Amino acid sequence: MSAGALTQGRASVPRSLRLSSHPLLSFALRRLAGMVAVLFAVSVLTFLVFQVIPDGDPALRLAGHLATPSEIRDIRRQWGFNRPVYIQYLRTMEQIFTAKVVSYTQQVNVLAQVGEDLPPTISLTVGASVLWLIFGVALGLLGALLSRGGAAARLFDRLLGALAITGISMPTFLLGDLLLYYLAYRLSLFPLGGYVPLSSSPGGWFTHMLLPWATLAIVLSGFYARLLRSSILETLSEPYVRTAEAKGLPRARVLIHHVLRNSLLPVVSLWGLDFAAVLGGGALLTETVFNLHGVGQYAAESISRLDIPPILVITMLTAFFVVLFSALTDIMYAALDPRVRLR
Amino acid sequence: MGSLPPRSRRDRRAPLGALRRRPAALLASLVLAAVVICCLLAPLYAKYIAHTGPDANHITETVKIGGRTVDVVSPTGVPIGPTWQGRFLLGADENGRDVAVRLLYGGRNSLQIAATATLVTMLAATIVALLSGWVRGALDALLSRLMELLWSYPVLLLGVALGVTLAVGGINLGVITLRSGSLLLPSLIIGVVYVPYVARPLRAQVIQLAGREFVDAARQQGLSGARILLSEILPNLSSSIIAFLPLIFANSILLEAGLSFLGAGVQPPAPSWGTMIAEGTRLMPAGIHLVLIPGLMLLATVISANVLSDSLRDMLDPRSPTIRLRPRAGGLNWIESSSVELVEREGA
Repeated sequence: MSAGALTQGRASVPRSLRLSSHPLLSFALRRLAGMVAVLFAVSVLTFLVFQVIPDGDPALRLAGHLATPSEIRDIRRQWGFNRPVYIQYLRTMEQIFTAKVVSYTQQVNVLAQVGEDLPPTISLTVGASVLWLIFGVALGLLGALLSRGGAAARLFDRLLGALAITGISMPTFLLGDLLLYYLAYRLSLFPLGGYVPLSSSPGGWFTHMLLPWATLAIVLSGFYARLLRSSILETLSEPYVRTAEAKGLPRARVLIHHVLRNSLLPVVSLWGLDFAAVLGGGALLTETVFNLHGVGQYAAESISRLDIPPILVITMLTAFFVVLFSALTDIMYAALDPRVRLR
Repeated sequence: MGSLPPRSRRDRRAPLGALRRRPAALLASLVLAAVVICCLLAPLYAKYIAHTGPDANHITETVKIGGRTVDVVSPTGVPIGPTWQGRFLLGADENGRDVAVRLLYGGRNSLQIAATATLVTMLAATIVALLSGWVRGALDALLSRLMELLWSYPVLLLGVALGVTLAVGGINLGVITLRSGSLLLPSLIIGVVYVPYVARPLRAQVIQLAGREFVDAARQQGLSGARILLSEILPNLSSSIIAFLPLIFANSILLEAGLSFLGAGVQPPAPSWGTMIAEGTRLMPAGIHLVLIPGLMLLATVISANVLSDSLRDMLDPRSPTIRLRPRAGGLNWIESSSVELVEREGA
């Protein structure tokens, strides 16, 4: 990443500007600034949303049902709820970044709790994302091939399309419920939800994770299949593909080397973003249905208790992952596709 | 649709004729129409066939099935399954309420919320797109940053956070006061959440149209900016807007169900498909019909809307630059992870 090589011809440019004239570096810097801005805005928005709750006084919640007014007053002073909103915000943010933030209702350290909830979420994310990528790519490729075949093949392609639409239209909690009922309860093939750490029992971990993985994979691979199929069909109509075929290259080679490589770009970048969203606790519903005790479920429970600190931490975590991975996928996109410029 | 400028032979066909050539789209429209009509007829069904209301409890009552008398809810709390007769056609829930009646009334709520949310989204997104694509400058920067903020905020977390907060105490915006149980609350929340997904591609299209010759010509004629926006640019956005409608509608239904499932949408005892599934989930495994029945209804509706959206996209503008799928984070079609954006085709 030598910035000098690129700016050699422009000796008059001040040294400080030279550094940022490297496209990747300046992109990274701008994205970093953007990331900080987004995290700031997301945290302020979240804080404000919960500040306007009419009955959301956290002091009342902390004090419990039998508290006297003076106790509530004490709590309010002790936790700083009587201070102006921006002071409360700054205090909370300071606590978050010094890892001292404590939830209002359970009074446990939020970051410690999130750390405890991360393993199930990571397990869910990694397994499910691999599955939905594999299924999505396989189905998308199959669909694209079939759509160029005979009448029977095209019929089968339409069937796949219908399947994909069904997956897309399926709420994860409904699918999760049905899988739990029929496969886990009626047929006793799987445990009824919950999470077993990988370290304590690899087999137990696997059987507990299989249904949540399948749920996310079924819902999401429909997207990937549709995206890849249309992407492949579009690439196939490009002149360079015709050139490759005219040169007499085998069809399979053209498909894998010339077409698939290009068509996979949007799929891979979507995959990165989905990965980030699920990793940041975005799969609230799946985690809740399968009782995985992950970050998403923690978020859902905290929201129903109107517990601001965990919600703040998790929304910032999700936003952080999404922004980070969107920058990473953009960089990767530019590396793979020379037509795309980083802006 | 009739006001669209004719672009090709395909477009000049009557919309109904085009629909007939696409059996999937026709079927989807019929299913949607049937769902809407059934839900609209809910009061008639409740009064003349089920003889009960959506919130009426029959927990201590019995019902006759083939000469046998059966408890609506068994002493152990297990509600009756589908009876396939007038009363409790699709069974009862844990409070002894008629599931079929609640399904229809719940459908009214789900559909009404989704339709209102779709209108809110489209209206707000169109206004944002027109303003920021036409005026540009500082206003564009401000609106675009706002859209990006909404965009990077996790959809479900944002919806749930807003939903729970507002569901607790309602909202008071000076002039407008919404009660906490109001259906407008989830509609507004869902509507706002989806604005950036529509506003961004529309804005790109406005920018593109603003550089076209016919807009220049209108400017030369001395037309005002507002006039150009309304009479030159807006009509050219109409096919994109129409193609977005069923897509946003489908996703609004899904998001409503997700919010209600987490307790942040429609507030009990009011039914909606999402709250019904949530209630059924709590009663699992005794109440699988409580999950299955609203679930299938919801699925049929969302699939139909998605199929319709696909067909409309092809039908209205098969080669349009705006109707291209491009990935983007934050969850349009799905609720939990991420999605695909309709956006301007890149230079190629």
